[in-house]
Amino acid sequence: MHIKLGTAGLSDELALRLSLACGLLAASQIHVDIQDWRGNESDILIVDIDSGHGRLAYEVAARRNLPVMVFPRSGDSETSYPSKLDRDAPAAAIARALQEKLQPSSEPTSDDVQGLLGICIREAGCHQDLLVKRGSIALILRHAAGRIITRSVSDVPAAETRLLENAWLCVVRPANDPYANEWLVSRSLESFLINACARHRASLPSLGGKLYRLTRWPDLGSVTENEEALRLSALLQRSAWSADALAQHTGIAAHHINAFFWATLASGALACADGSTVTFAAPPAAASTASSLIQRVARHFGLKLGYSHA
Amino acid sequence: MLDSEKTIKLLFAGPLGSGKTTAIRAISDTPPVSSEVPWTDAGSSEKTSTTVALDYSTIQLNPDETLHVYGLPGQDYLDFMGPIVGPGALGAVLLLDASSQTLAQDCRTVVEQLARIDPSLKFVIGISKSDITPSFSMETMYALARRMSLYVPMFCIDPRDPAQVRQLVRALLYLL
Repeated sequence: MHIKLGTAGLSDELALRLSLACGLLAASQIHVDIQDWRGNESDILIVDIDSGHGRLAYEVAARRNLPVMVFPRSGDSETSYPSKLDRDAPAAAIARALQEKLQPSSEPTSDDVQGLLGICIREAGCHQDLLVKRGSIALILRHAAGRIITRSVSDVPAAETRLLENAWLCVVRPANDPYANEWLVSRSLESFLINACARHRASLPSLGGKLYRLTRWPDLGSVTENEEALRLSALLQRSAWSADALAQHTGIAAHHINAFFWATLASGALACADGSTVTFAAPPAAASTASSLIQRVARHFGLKLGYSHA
Repeated sequence: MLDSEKTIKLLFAGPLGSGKTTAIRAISDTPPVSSEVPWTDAGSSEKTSTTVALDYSTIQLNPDETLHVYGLPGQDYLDFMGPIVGPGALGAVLLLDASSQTLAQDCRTVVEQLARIDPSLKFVIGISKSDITPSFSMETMYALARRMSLYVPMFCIDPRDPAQVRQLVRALLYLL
């Protein structure tokens, strides 16, 4: 992605930090060509309202509907601008703000879903033990370890039932946990999320046409009643798919696939695969006798014909 | 002796105490033929016996076909049995004990054992006792898998539960 970025009225110090920030964007395949803006063609304009040139450029850009980001006057937190940059922010923070403006995030966030699922997405990869509570239900979320721990077996289905409800509270587990000896039920976080999202499939927002792929096999040991999870995992492990394309390819209901996507996104196994193309990697051609043998074994283990090769 | 070219075989491998015999019993039509002896190193564990050679059991696929299930011995000194019974197997289920102090090394050892049978043998990994091992972390296993370039299904399972053992075998079938 090549961007022409115009600047107007920036001090040398601000211009230097902006230049460093643009350099950082190269890591995200965004190549920025910075130029002094004198009305010439630009993809985005950065102005400093503290200077007369900056104010003038801002007005012209507004008339031309040119995307513009503003360094507001020092101490001015009241004037509203469509996009603001913090004049004291380090280059990395400016780079993040620029990237968000140029390439709005397509990753689902915890804002897209509520409750325990939102917490799991927000805390993805967290290495701390988190105490998550709602009313009388409490669990310890060890996200990086892929485990949830409860005090009773019944808390697991209860948490599943309330997966999307608000009012879940999440804090770091206290070092001196008075109930330390009561956390006895340890379960796979991934299995929990897959089962829970399947229960709430009708309420989950659609992830639609974006491409995703699994970075690893999810832990499906306890997902024994959801045959589709295995099949989806096998496909998403091989290549990137959108939920819509998978529904078309497999005949599995779109909301089931969407639920699986949300669960594995929340567990950290599924990743957005922007830029990839959907490619169906055909299994290696096996001798027909061998494949029919596999199908006979598969049938015994409850897989439908043809499932073994997705 | 069974002809390895004609026999449909499924292998279970893993270190001592990982649940191979239990898992085989969970999915077999017939109780496994095992050479179990009292386990003198069992300590406070509930496990009181261990298999000193191999487990063998069968699953009837249809009236004419039988799937032969072998549990490879977990002891190093019986390592030589793998290449005898293993060739021609459909694939393997590798079981690990989450409570083991040497979990990573156990995994490496059994993966190497399977590679000696057939470097192209497909396998899945089942991790037992994760529910009773509070410190267990899948992250450790995923990191180990990345280091070993293993991109195989890795499930936490209870080997006593037939549905969970079947789930491992199903995942294996998707790899074939």
